[in-house]
Amino acid sequence: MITIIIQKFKEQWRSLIYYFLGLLAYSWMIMSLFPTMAKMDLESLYSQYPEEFLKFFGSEQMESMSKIEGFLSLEFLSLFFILIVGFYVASSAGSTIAGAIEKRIMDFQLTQPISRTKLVISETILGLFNSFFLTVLTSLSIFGLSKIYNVEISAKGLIAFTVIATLLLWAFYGIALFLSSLLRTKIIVAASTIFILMGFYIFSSMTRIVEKLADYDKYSIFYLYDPEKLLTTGNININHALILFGIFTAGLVGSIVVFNKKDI
Amino acid sequence: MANAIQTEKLTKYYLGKKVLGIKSLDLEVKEGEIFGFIGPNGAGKSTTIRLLLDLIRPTSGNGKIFGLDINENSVEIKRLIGYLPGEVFLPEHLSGRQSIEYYSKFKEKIDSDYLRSLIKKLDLDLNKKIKEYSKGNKQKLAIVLALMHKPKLLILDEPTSGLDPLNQQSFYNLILETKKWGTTTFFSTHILTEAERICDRVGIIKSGKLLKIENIDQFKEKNIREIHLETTGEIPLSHFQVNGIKKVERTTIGYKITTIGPNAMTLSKILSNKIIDVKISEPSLEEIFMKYYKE
Repeated sequence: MITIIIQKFKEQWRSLIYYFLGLLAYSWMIMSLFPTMAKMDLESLYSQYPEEFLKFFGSEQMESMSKIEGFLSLEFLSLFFILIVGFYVASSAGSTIAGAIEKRIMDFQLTQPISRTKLVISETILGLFNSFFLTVLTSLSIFGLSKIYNVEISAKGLIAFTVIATLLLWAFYGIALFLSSLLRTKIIVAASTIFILMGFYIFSSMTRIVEKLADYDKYSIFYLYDPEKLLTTGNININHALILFGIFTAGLVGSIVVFNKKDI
Repeated sequence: MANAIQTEKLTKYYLGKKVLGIKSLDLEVKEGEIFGFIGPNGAGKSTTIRLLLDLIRPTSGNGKIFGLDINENSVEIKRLIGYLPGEVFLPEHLSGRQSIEYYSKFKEKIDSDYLRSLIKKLDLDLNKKIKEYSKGNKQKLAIVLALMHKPKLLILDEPTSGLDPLNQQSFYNLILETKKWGTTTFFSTHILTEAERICDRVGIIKSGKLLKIENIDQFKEKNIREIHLETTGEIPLSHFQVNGIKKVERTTIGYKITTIGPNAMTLSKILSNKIIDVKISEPSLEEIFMKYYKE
C-alpha cells in the first residue's frame, strides 16, 4: 500500500501546490479587502442587494457581513472554497478507478500482487490526506493573513471550520469514488460530482429563498456545513460530523464492492 | 508432472449472455512447459488470459494456477507470475527506470544481475519517459517488468506484436532461457511460426471453444502452406496429383495450391512446368481452421 501512496503522491504533489497557491491567492484577496470593506458601511451596501441574493449565498443577517466571519463565508468559504477543492477531490477520486481503466493502466497494476480493495484504499488515503492538507493550509493562511491585516479571527473557529470542511470534502470524495467505480471516464466522474455538489448548494439556497421549501433544508449536504457559524462559535456539531463521515464511508465501501465485481 | 494452469468448464459471456468470450474451457498446462494458445482475433485468447489474471470474472466454471483458485487467491497467484500484454499501457509520466523501480517494489525478490542483463540484451534506454518510447521500446520495457523477478509462470498475450524481427528473436531466446529455471509459459498468439518455434504444446481455440491440444511435433507435421505460382500457361492437372496437395485454385496469373506436410515432392513436380515465380506463404488461421480443423 505504501508503495502506491508514495508513487501517487509523487504524481500529485505539483498539482497540490498549484491548488494551494490558488487558494492562498484567493484568501489573500479576501483578507486584504476586508479592512477597507469594514470601514465602509457594509450593512447599507448589502441592504441594497436583493434579499434573495444574500440568502442564496447563505447570509441572511446584514450585520454579520461587517464581521470577518460573515464576509469570509459569503465571499469565499461557503461556496468557492468547496467548489475549488471539491474539483480537486472529484478529479482525484475519478482517476482512482474510472481514470485508470480509461487509460488502461489499471490492467498492468492489477497484475501486480495487490488486491483491488487495497488499491482503492491506498489511493483514498492519499486523497483524504490531500483534501485535509488543502483545508488546513487554507485555514493557516487565513490565520496568518488576519495577523498581517490586523483582523481578529478566532483560532477555535478556524479549527472547527477545518474539521467540518475536511469532512464535507471527504463526503464528496466518497461520492466521487463511488461514481468512479460506476462510470467510464474521469471527466464524467468529476463533472457528475461537481453537478451533485452544485445541486446540493442550489437546493440549500432555494430552501432559504422559497418558503415552501424551508422545511426541506436538511436534505442538502450543505445543511451540515455553515462556515459562518463554525468560525463564529468554534463549535463542532458531532452529529453533523458523523453524518459527513458516514457519507464518505458509504461511498468508499460502495466503490470497493462495485470495483471488486467489475470486469476490467 | 503437476499442472501450472488448470481450468474446468471455464466460461465467460459478456453483456449478460449476449456475447460469448469462451465456453466450457478445459485446459491443463503442465509445469515447466511452453504452451501456445493459438487462435484468430476474437477467438477468446485474451478473454482466457484476463480470466486467469482475475481482471474479469467467469460466468461459470473455475480455474487454478499452481493449485490456487484464480479468483479467491488472486494476490498470491500474482506473486508467482509475470504478465506481458500485446499492447502496453504504463503510467506515461514515469521514466523506464522509475517504472522498473515502482513495479519491482511489488515483487518479493529481484535478481539485480539478471535485471541488468535483461536491460542490456534488449538494449533499452531507461532514462526516457514512457510517453517518449516507441511501441517497440514500451514492449521491451514490459518484457523486463514481466521477467525481472524470474516468475514461476509467464503469461504472454500476443507479446511480439510491437517488436521488430531482431528483437523478436531476442525475445524468443529470453523465453527459452526462462525454461531452464523451470518457468512455465502460457503464450497466446495468432502467428503459427511463432508457436512452432518455441512451444512444446499448442491449444487451438476458435469462437470461444478449444478445438484441440497437440504436441508441437504433431502440429508442425501439418506444415500447412499456400504456394502461389505465376505461370506462362496451364499446368496439366496430373502434375497436381501429389500427396500433400489439398486444394488447387486457378488465379489470374497462375495457381494457388494449399499443401499439408513437406513440400519437396510437390515443388519438384510442379517446377518442371513453365513457372515465372513461386511464393510460399502461411495461410490465415481462419483458412487453416476451415481446411484442417473443419470448423
